[in-house]
Amino acid sequence: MKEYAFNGIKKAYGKKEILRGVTLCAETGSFVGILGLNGAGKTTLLNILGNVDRNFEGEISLRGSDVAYMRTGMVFPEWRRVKELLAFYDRFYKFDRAKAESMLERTSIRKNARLRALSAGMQRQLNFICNFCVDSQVLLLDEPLTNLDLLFRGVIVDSLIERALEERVILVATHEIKEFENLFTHVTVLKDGMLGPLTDVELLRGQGKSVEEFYGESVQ
Amino acid sequence: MIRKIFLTEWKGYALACGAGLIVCLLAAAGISLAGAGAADAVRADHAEYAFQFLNAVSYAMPAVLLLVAIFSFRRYYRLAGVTEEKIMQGALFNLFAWTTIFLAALMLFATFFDLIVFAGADAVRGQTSPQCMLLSLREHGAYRLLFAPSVAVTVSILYMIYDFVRVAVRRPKFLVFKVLIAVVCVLVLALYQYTVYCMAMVPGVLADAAWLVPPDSVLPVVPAWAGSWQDAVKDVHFLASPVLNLFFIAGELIFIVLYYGFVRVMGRCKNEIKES
Repeated sequence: MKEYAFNGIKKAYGKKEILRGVTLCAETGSFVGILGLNGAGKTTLLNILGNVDRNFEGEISLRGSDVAYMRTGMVFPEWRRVKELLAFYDRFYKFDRAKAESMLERTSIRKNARLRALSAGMQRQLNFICNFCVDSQVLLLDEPLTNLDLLFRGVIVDSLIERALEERVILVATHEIKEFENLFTHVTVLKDGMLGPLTDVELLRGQGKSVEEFYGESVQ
Repeated sequence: MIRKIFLTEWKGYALACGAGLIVCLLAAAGISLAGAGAADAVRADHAEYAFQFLNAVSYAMPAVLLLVAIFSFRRYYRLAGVTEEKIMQGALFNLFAWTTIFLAALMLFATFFDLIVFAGADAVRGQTSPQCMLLSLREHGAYRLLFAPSVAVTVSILYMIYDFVRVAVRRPKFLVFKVLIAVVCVLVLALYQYTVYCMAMVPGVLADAAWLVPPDSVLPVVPAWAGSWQDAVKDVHFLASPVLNLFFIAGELIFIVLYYGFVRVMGRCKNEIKES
């Protein structure tokens, strides 16, 4: 894969248009931040890209098991156990189980625990570990730092730095701009149902602007 | 892919089947013990109650497994890039396999119960109605095991009918049309099933052709209603299918072709991912 692209994505809930022809083309190795105010449609867009929502118009270059998607909530039934979730990823994805298990050992999540017994933060940790350890060409992260303690926020950022040079595209929808500031290669802002131009973060820095300042200007 | 789906979902089905067998064990033991030491006629009555309970479970559990198949949450397969068609095939295989496994286990249990409860009491067994020992291999021979996949076929067909209606209902926008389409689909499919069952059974009734309807087989409800039950050799079970009957097999093949054709034409969903 040289690039990951989607073109003319439209989505409406009844008469309300949430996405009005969203288009983006990111080269392999890109770490793209999708920024936007609450209700701008970031999660709706990621749900479409991650194949959760199929009721849309438009084209996407890559879907299915080549796209790992960390949603804000767990998609697996809560009565299942952690080890069953790992087995599921092992069965259906190209999954680095050894790495996932070693990352799990650094948390307080037991493999035998049921998902409903995990706190919201622990579920987020597990969700990140599972999707991060999928050898996918695209990784979608929806608010990956929400509900997480400082330690695991560090683990996420470090893990992403570790794999930043890999041949994959990472798309992050987040409000935690400062924590990803040094990771973003590109950013774009979702506003009024449309994505703004994909902006190179190096160019922004060259102009003496931070991503946060760029975002502030874009949403005003 | 079907194997992967089976491995992912086996636990829920296994738990349901295990729980069903434990209930059967407790109920059969309880009913038998309640009649222990009583006169032969009373013991025979209790044995009949126990066998009738097992017969009732042979209806209840396939229904439970059908509901498990219908209401299982499967959205996580979609995230993993599994197409709706494969998900449906996996669910269908699970339903068939677990219904067969459960009923075969239930029949072995009924046979075991038949041996234990009537041990050294042939007089009691003689007073017990053979009609209620529908599931006992001791009563009917190993050939009766065919009943297990026969019920699984019916349950699978019911699941396909559910899927048929689901695919049909997805398209129209308004609820009234959805309900109307569902009702029409159910009526048409029920009529079709009725016709297939009748066609399957009539030659057997008229000509007593053993190769059409296996002797000592379990008849489904429609031919039973049509009068075939008068053949005292046969038992009646609402969920049984005449799986060795060529008319039935031909009819079901036509149904499956129609079903797949309909689903292909209508499409299961918008923007389905392409299989790699």
